[in-house]
Amino acid sequence: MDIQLAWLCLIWPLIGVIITPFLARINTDVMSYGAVFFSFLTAVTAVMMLPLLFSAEVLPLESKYIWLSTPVHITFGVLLDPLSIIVANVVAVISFFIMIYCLGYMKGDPDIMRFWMLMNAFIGSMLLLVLANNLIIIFIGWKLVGLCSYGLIGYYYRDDEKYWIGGPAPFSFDKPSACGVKAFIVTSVGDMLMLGGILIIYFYAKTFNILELYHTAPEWVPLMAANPWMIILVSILLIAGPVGKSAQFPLHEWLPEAMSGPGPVSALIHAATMVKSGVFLIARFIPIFYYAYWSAGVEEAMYFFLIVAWIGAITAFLAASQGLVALELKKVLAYSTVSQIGFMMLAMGVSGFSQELLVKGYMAGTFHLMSHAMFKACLFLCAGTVIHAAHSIYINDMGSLKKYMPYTWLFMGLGTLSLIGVPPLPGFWSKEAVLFATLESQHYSLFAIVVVTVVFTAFYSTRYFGMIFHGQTSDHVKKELSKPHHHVHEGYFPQTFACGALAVGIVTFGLLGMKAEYALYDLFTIQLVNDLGLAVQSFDPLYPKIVIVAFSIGGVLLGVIPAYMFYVSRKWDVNKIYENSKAVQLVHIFLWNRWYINNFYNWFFVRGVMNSARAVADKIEVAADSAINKRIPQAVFGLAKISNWFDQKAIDGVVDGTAYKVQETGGILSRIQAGKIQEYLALAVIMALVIGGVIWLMII
Amino acid sequence: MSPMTMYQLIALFLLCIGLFGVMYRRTLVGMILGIELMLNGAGLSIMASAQLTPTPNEIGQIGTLLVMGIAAAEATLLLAILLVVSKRFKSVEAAKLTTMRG
Repeated sequence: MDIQLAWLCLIWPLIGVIITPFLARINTDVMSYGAVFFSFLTAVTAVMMLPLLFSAEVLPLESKYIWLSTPVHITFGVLLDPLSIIVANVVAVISFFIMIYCLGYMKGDPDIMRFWMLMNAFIGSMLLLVLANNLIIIFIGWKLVGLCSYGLIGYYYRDDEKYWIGGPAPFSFDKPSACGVKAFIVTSVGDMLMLGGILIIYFYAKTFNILELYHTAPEWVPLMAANPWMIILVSILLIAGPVGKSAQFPLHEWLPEAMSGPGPVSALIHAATMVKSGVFLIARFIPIFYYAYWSAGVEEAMYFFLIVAWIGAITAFLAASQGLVALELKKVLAYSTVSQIGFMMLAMGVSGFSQELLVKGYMAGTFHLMSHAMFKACLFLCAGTVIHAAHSIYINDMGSLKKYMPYTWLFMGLGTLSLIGVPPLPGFWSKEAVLFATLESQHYSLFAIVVVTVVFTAFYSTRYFGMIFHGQTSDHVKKELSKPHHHVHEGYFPQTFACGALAVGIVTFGLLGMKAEYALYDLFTIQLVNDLGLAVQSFDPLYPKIVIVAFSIGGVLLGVIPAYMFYVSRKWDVNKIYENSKAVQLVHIFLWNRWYINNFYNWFFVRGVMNSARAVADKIEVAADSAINKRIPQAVFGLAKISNWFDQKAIDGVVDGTAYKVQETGGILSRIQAGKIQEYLALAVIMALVIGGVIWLMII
Repeated sequence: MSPMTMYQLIALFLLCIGLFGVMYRRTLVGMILGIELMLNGAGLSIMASAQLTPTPNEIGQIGTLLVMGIAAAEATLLLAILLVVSKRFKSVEAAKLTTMRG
C-alpha cells in the first residue's frame, strides 16, 4: 500500500485540474472549495507516507511501469526514499495551507478558474518532479513547474497598472506578462544545459533510472573519467539547471521580477517549493559525484562540490546585500529567498569536501529547505495581506500598521524571527547546521562570507519589519484611512487562518528543532551509508558547538541592534547618516542598481541582439531589397514601355469594343475576391476534394 | 487494423483537424496553430512510413526532422508577419484584414 500512496499523490492534483472547469459550471464557490479539497487530499496522502520514515530500512521503494521500450529504455515510476518523502511532504502540506489562503485572497477575481487550475497543475507537476524515479521524468516535471510558474507570474496578463512591479529609477516598471516571459526564458537557459548533462550521463551509464545510476556507478564512472574534462563538463551542465531554477548567481535576476504575480503564488512557487527543486536535484546527484571522488578516486569530481558551494556562498552574499536597500516588500522577501537558497546550496556543496561531512551537509541542506519553506511561506502570505491592506507595494508607504493588524503582526513577527535565526525557532537550528558544516569543512573563506550574510539577513529582516509595523504612520496610510471603504485591517478569515496555521507550525517545528535534526541525521545515514554504501568516516568535530552558536548569535545581534535602533524604536535617524556620508551613498547606489548585473544582461543580451539584428538589416537586407525591388521593376518597366508603344499603335483599336465586356465580367468575378483568406482556402479545399474524388472514381 | 494503418489514420486525423482549424478559426493565431497541426500530421506520417516499411529508418527520421525544422522556421516568420499585421490593422481577425472592396 505504501508505494500506491505515491501514485495517489500524483493523481489527486491531476483530477483537481480536470474537474475544476466542470465545477465552475455549478458556481464559483463550489469550484474554489473543490480545488482546495483536492489539495487537501494530496496533503493527507503525503502525510500518510510519513510513517515510512520510521521504518527506513524498507526504503527505497520503487514502482515502475514501462513507458518507452525502444532501444532507449525509459520507465515511468515513483521512488520513495527519505529525501523524496520529506520534500513531497513539504510541498503538499504547505501548498494546502496556501490554497486555503487563496480562498480569501483571490475572492472576487473574474478569472479565478484559470488560477485554481494552474495552482493544482503546479502542485501535481512539483510532486511529479519530487517523486519521479528517473531523470527524464524529473526533467518533464521540471519543465512543467516552469510552465505553471510562467502562467502564474503573468496571471494578470492584461497588465493593469496596479499589478506592476518595479521601482523608481533606475528600474522601469515591469508588466506581469513581461516578467513571466523573463522568468521562463532565463530558467530555460539552465534547463537546456541540464538536459545536455543528463544525456551525457546516459551515454556512459545507459540508464536514466536514479537507483540504477547509484548502483552501477562503479561501472560507468571510470568510463566517464577516462575522458579528461568530461566530469567537469557534466558537473557544470548539471549544476546549470538548478542554478536557473533556484535563481542562483549568474541566473538569479528573474526571481525579483517574478514577484508581480499574486501573493500566494509568490509564497508557493517562488519561496516554498519550485525554487527548492534545484536543491533537491543537487541532493539527487550528490551520491554519484561523492562516489566518484572518494571511492573511485576521480580528482575532477571535486569540482562539482566546489562549484555548488561557491555559487551558494556568492549568491547568499549578493542577494542579502541587495535586500538591504530594496523598498518593495515582496522584492525584499525575494532577495531573502535567493540568499537562503544560497545557504542550502552551500550546505549541499560542503557535503563532499570531506568524508566526515557527507551526511552532515546533506542533512543541513535538507533541514534548511524544510524550515525555510515553512517560515518563508508564512512571511509571503502575511506580506500579501499587508499589501492588500496598505494598497501599496512599498514599505516606505506603510508604517505603524501594528495597531490595525495585530494578528498579522504576530505571525509575520514569528516568521521574521525565524528568518533572522533566533532560538528556538527552526531558522536558528537549520542555519546553525549549515554554519557548522561549513566551519568543519575548513574552508574559512566560505565561512566568512556566510557569517557576513547572517549579519545582513538580520539587518534587512528587522528593517522591513520595522518599516511596516512600527514608527510613524505614513501619509499614504493616512490617505487610505480617510477613504470610506478602506482595507486597513486584517484580511479575510481564511487568510488569517492560513498564516496562523503556518506560524503554529513554525513554533512546533522549532521546539522539536534538535530532535528533528538528529532524526534527519539518522535517516540520511541509513539512506546514504547503509543503502548506497558510500564510504564515510565517523564524525569528529574540530570545533565545539558553542563556537557556532556564538558566531550565529553574535552575527544576529550585530545586524539586529542597529536595524532596531533605525527602524523599530526610531532612536537614530537613517536619513541623517545617509546625507552626511558619501561612502554610504555610493554603496547604496551600487546595491540599488543590483550590482549592475541586470543592466549588464540587458546591455549584453537584449541590446546586443537588437544591435546585431540592426546591423544585419542595414548591411544585408537593404542590399538584397534594393536589388529585388529596384532592379527588377526597372527591367519590367523597360519591357512595359516597348509593349505600351505596341499597344497604342496596333491593338487598341481592335480591343476597345471587347474591353467593356471584360470589365463587366471582372466586376461579377470580383465579388468573390473580397480578400477574405479563409473563404479562398475553403474554396480551394472543396475544389481539391472534388478533383480528388473524380480522379478516385476514374481509377476505380 | 495494422499499426501502419493506425498511424496513417492518426496522421490524416491531425491533418483534418489542422485544416478545419485554419478554415474555422477567426484569428490569425488560431490559423497558425492549425498549420502547425497539419505539419505535425505530415511528420508523423513520414516517420511511420519509414519505421514500418523496409525503408531505412534514418530516412524517416531525417524527413521528420526536416519537417519540424521547417515548421519552426515557418512559425517564426508567421509570427513576425502577425506582429506587422496587428500593428497596421489593429486586429488579428482574418475577416477584418481586407483592403479590397470585393
